[in-house]
Order: sequence, then C-alpha cells, then structure tokens
Amino acid sequence: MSDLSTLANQAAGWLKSGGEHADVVVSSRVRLARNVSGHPFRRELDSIAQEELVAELLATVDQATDWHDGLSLELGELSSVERKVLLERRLISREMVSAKHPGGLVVDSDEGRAVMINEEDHARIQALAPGLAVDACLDQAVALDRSLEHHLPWAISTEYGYLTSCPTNTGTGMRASVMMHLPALAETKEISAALRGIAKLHLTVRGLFGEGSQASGHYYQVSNQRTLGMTEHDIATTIGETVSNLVSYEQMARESMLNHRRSQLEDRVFRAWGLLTAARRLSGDELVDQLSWVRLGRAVGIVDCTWETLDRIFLQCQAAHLELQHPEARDAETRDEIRAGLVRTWLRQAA
Amino acid sequence: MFGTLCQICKTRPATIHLTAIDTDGSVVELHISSMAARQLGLDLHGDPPSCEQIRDIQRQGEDALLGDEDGEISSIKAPTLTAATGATTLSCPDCGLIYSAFAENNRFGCASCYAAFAENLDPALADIHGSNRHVGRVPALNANDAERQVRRRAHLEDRLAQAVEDENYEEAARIRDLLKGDGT
Repeated sequence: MSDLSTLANQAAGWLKSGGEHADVVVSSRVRLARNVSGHPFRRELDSIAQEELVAELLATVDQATDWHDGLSLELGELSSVERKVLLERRLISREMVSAKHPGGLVVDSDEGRAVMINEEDHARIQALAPGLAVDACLDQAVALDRSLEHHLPWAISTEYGYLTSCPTNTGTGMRASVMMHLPALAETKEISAALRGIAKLHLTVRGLFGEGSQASGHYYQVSNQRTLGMTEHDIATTIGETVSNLVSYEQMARESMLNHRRSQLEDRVFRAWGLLTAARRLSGDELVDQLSWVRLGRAVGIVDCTWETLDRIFLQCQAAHLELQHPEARDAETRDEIRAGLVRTWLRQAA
Repeated sequence: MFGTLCQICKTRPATIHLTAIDTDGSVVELHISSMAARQLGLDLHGDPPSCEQIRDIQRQGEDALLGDEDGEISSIKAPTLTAATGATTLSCPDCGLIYSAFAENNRFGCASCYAAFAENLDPALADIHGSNRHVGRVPALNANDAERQVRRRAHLEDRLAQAVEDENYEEAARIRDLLKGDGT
C-alpha cells in the first residue's frame, strides 16, 4: 500500500465476509490505551513536546512492528477529507479528525492492526477483524502491545494497572466493541427486550448511525464499560457470550419473519433493491437504511448478490471516501448523484 | 413508577420523571435517576422542560453514557469524583494538577496524579468500575515481579477484610502496615 488513496480504494480487512456469524456480526475490535512512563499525558504537554512525542512514537512503532506495506502517517500532513477517510475506516477516532494537536497513525496493510498516536492517551493499540472475533482481536492487540513494550516503558502501577488519562479507561485500558446488524430484532420491536440485561453486565449498546441509541440502518455496537477489576480475557468472554446470545435472538427473529411474514419481508427487501438499483440520487443516510434491508435479504436468501459488493458499497460510498476518489463530489448533491451511480453499477455487476 | 430503571444509565432506579405533551397530542416521557440528572446538570427547580428539551436531555445523556461510535466513554463522572470536596486541595507533585480540576474534567495530568489523588480515587474508581484494583495483564518485562505484587496485595487485602470482620484489630493493623509498606 503506497498511500492513502490506495488504502481508500481497497477492501478493509475487518469488513470481509467469512468471519464468524458474518450475517449478523459485521466486525470486532479491541483497543488498548497506553501512555509512556515519564511523560505527562497529552493534555499537560505543550505543542512542541507533543510534536516530539508523536515523531518519537511513530519511529518507535515503525521499528517495533516492521509491517511491510503498511502506512505510517502524521495526521497534521493530511487534509480534512483524508482524515475523515481514516475515520470511516475506523482507524482513527472522531476526535482525531478535528484535533488541532499533532497526532499519528501506523497501520498494517490489511488494516487489521493499528496504533493511534497522541489521541487522548499517548498510544492506542487496536486490532480489528471481521465477524465475531473478540478473542482473536485481543490476541492480536496483546501481541502488538508485547512488541511495543520492549521499546516503550508504559506507565503502570501495581494497584491501578495501566494508567490512562481518563479514569474510565484505567486498568486494562481495554475497550472491546462488536458491530452488529440486527434488523429483524429492530423491526419486530424485540430489540429492547433483547438488549435488556446488557447494562447489568456492564456493557453498553448504541446505534452506530444516527444519534444516541436510535439506530439507523439497524447497526448496533456492543462495548464494555468497565476496564478495571476484570482481566482482559474476562472482558472478551463477557462480550463474546453476550454477542453470541444476541446472534441467536436475531436469527430466531429472522426465522420468524420468514415463517410468518414472508411476503411483507420480501416486499421490503425488493423495494430496497429496486430503490438502490434505480435511484439517481442517494444520500448517505438513505443508503445506510436501504442497504440494511438488502443485507438482510441476502442473509436469508431473498436476493442474490455477493457480500463483497454489499461491503464495498457500505465502505466506499461514505461521504469522505467519495470525496477523496471523486474530487468533483465536494458538494452534497453531486456526491449523492455519484453515490447513486456507483451503487447502481456495482449491484448490476454483482447480480 | 416504582421499579422503573433510569432510561439513561439503565442501572439505577429512575426517581425523576419528566413528561410533556407534544403538539400532536403524543406524550413524551423520560425517567431518569438522580445521578444521571446531576451529571447532565439538570435544573430541577426551574420550569418543566418542553418536549424538545426532554428529547435533547435524552440525546445528551445517551451520548455521555453510551460512549461514542467507537464505544469510547469519556464523560461519566462518578458521584464520588465530584462530591469528594473534603480533599480538593490535593495536588500532583509532578504535573501540578489540582484535584478539583481533575474532578471537573475527569482527566489526569500524568501518571503520578494517580498516587497523589489515591485517597479520593479508590472510591471513585470503585464507583466507575465496581473495583479499584487491577487484575489484568502487566508488561512482560516486569511481569513476574509486578504480577506477584498484584497477587500478594490482593491476598493481603482479603486477609485484612477477614481480620476486620473477625474484629481482630491487631492483625488488621499489622496487615495494613504491610500494605502501606508496599507503596504504589
């Protein structure tokens, strides 16, 4: 991978079919927050000290990881659109898109492993994988942490574990999140019953698109809330088991839709298919909503289309991806036209 | 409404019930705990909120307590963090951050803040995480040493609790001294 446009044009490693429960679980992610011992946390560093730290960490991470064909980026050198592309690919946080302070990113060639530098903590190690793969992500993140800790003395205390800027991350510094597609539970209004009890396990769920817990496109993210007093393995197991349960509830709800309301379901899926294969203008929100029905249709065998195509549309038709690949897509209207054109072409090729 | 859970934190009982009637006649309701109300800075003595305000409160609360799209939670404030006013004069010897500034922003200035604020921190961390002791991984380089220490402390803390329960204060004082000797 030579540069950011190549990255933006490729399929993301974490958004590929073949993962466990791929028809319900889009992707899994584990991140570990770390700070370098002897340096104040980011907020207490002046901009010169932050620049030095970013340069030092970029060099150290490059050396320690030795990822061939990966990318090592100073965010200050990127345009706002390029940063948004990284956000859309889940490689940097929303905060890093608009941050005025220096920051960096080192990412491997298939985007399965990355280190975000100088976000709220000095380093945020992350591992991403398609489907339900929290344990595998944890193994990857820990291996990466092990290779970095030989070069970087992390701030740690016997009592509190890894010391982070925000007390909500103290201890393991671990946040595991799983992105799920739960259209049948959402449509049958069984979602609140299914999600009830999750808070008791100290996990949170939020809609991935749309505000607060109102999910647009039926995407939900399950994450752990607590980071202290549990081992990394316990956190991964709690999330894994909860997600597995949600997967079976969603599958039951799909089964029930197929058995009792098949024609209604088919109607909804084919309307979405019709809209996506015919529309001349598509906003990002409308695409997320309609694509959700087509994904459900594909999962239960109502429409025939490759998962690769649906994943490609999901990723490449986001606003910043369009803007980077099509410089004329700067205003929303042109972008909606280009989006609709790409969706039509790709679905036609795949059908 | 007895027994309803807070619609925002979903863990505590809802004790504050906001209701308004929308222009189309529909009822907008929000049931929240007093802690969520405090964290959101709600003025409970002013005019009752409008439908739009109730929806805003809900959105604001969900963003704060559910985390962002990466699951990052940054704005939870444990009540003990803000309420521990007795010790607000504490300050970090390394970065100079004072406790009240930490409680306000919910951010430490450096690793030494943890030891400097330990007195207030233990109850605050227990409130956020249900525990204030790390039991997870430590760097491999000092794993043997550090892991052993973590285990030893946990063991000592269990013995201390047992001694207190048995009202064996002599033993409890001895264990406390051992724990103090460990430092941080």
